[in-house]
Formats: sequence, structure tokens, C-alpha cells
Amino acid sequence: MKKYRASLIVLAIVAILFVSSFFGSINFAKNLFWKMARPVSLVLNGSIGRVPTFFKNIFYINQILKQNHDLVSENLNLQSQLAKTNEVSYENEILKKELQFANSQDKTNVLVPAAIIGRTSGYLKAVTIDKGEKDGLSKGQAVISQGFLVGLVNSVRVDNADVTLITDYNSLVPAILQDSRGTGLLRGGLEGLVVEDIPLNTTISKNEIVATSGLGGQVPPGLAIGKVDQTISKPGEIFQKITVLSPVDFSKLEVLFVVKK
Amino acid sequence: MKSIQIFLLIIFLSLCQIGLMSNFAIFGNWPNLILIMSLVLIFCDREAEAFLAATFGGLLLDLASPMFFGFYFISLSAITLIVKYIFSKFLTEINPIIVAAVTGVTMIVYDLTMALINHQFSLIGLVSNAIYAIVLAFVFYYFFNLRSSHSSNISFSSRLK
Repeated sequence: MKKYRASLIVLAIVAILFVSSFFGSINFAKNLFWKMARPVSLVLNGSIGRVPTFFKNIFYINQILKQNHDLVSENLNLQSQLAKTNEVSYENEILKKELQFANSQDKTNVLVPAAIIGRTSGYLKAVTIDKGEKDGLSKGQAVISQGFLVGLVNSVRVDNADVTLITDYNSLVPAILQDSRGTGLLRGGLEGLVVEDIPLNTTISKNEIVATSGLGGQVPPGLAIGKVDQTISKPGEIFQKITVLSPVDFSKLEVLFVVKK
Repeated sequence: MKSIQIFLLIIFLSLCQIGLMSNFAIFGNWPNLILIMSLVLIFCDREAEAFLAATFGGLLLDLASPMFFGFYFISLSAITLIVKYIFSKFLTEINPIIVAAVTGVTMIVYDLTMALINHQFSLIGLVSNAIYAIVLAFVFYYFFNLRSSHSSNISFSSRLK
């Protein structure tokens, strides 16, 4: 019995925490744990954690060079598009003023940068970030990386929060196909990112942009998710189902931005 | 090994599990270091320490995990007890094949449970994770045997028949 004394003490602590988890007080212990683990996690990630990336980069040097070349040309293309868009935006502002259009609501979103401090398992499509209630986070807020939606805030503690990635089977995000205007629900799972429940009368085209629809209120509309890859629904089904390709590598997420409305 | 050293090792491995191992993922997966530590301690005939690693490590992972509280504690403790029972009833000696087989099978069973709960199944991920776990188990086994041989002069070669 003496041999197992330490284990029995831990068992008693777990029993207390298990009971307290039903009353929501487990968040205090979790917050404290992450508060202590955060510096170690950041140091480990920033030091030893960089080693595999360094070697992968050497291994994929050709691919990286090609990708860099493609990105430079895409960047130039986007710069010219941005110049045109700025011109249209300026013209739009002038026309609004001319028509005395009331700018009734401020549509700007506030972005809160957050570092990933933990991931327990590859099977759990969730991460822990170092921002919490103190920084104005609340459950259901959208989380983006490189401008694309990557997850939703799931549970918030004082100093940190859990984010469920959109690749998780249990995550549901209302989405819209930007050209065909078909709406559906985005979820993760075995088939990757999938948008379900799209009406049959929607004509979907490949590479169409998929964005958040804003239905439900918490997630702002217009956040890019990815592009349409293929339709996977069968002919007899009453709704269409498509797979979505996100440009974000969900295994290499580092810094995220929480979108506060 | 003193209890305090075991506690510190469990804390260190838990922190590596949650903060570092995602960088060393293979096919998006990485093995559970606490589970490997518990298994290796059973291989080394140190059941009390193995159970401590499973319970205390499970508690720390539960505090870090977004899953329901108690999942890691229950699963790791249960696996440790089952493996200990199998060892006491059916296996009498330790050799590299047994270390590899028990670690691999345990990791596959554990991963299948995780995959079912989270609707994320990948055969290649399952196999690669089992191999990854076996490699780590051998590293841990050498580490614990080196520690034992320092304290009780029992060499690794004499245990690993």
C-alpha cells in the first residue's frame, strides 16, 4: 500500500477535480496550469521545436524555391489588383458622400494576436492559445491565420482559451460560396473540410471561394475559408456536399488572430 | 529513482507532450509520452512508478486537454493496469520483441480509441505512430535501465535477455 501512496494521493486529487468539473470550477485549475506551462511551452517551441522545420526546409529546398517564385508572381498580380480595388473603394466613398449614405455601423473587426501554447494530441483538432477573458475573448469567436478561418474559440479561461479547429468533426461553421451564393455548413472529419447542406439548385464551380456567411452572429461574414475542390454528394441526395481546400497548413499553425466584432 | 525525480520527469514529459511534440509529428500524429513512460516502467518491473506516471501524467494531460476532464487519467491508468496484468500472468521475461510488440499493440489500441472519439482515422497515421512509439520506448528503456544500473549495478544487458 505504501508503494502506491503517491498514486492514491493523485487519485484523490483527480476525484475532487472530476466532481468540480461538473460545476465549472475546473477552469480555475486549467487556467493555473496553462499559466505555469506557457513560458516552458513557448521556450520549447521556439528552440527545440524549430529543429525539425530547419531540416524539412533543407530537404524541400527545391519545392520552397518554386513556391517562392510562384508567390512573388502572385504577389505582383495581387498588388495590381489591390491598386484597382483601392481606386474603386475611393470612388465608392466619394459616391457615398454624394448620396449622403449613412454609415450606420462600424464594420471593422478587432484582431487579437495569440500564440499557440499547447496541443495534447494529433487526434484532437484543437489548440490552446495564450489569450483569454482578460483580452476580451468569448466563446464562439472566429480565429484566423494568414487571413483564413482556422477555428472557433471553444472555451475561455481568464488567461488562456481552447480553440477548436475547423478540421474537427464537431466544429460547425455557416459558410457561403461566393460566386454561386449557395449556403451550407462547414465541418471537418475524415474527408477533410466539407460544406454540407448546399441546396440542389446551386451551380457550384471548382475553385470558387468559400467564406463565412455570418449566420448565427458570432462569426463575422466574409472571412475566407478556402476554395471549392470537388462535389462529393451522390446523385440521389437532397443536398449537395463539397470538399474545400484551405491554403493553411493546420499542422504548422504558430500565431493566430482572434476576431473580435 | 527517487519519487521527486519521477514527478519531475512526468512534469517534463507532459510539458513536452503538450508544447513540443506537435513539431515532431509524423503524418500529423505523435505518440503519448506518458503512456510510453508507464509501459517502459512496467517493463523495468517498477509497477508503483508506472502507475504513478499514468495517474499523475494523466492528471496533467487532463488539465491541458480540451476533452472532458478525466479522459487521460482513466485511459492511461486502465491501460497500465491491463498491461501490468498481462505481464504478471502471461509474460515472464523481457526481450526487445516483447517491448516492441507490447508498445506497438498498446499504442494502436490507444490511437484507435482516440480516432473513434474524434472521428479522425488514418491507417498510415496509426502504423507510423506505433513505430514512432516503439522507437521512443527503446530510448526510454535504455534511459531507465541506465538509471537502474547506476543505483543497483544491474546492467541493461542482464535484463534484456
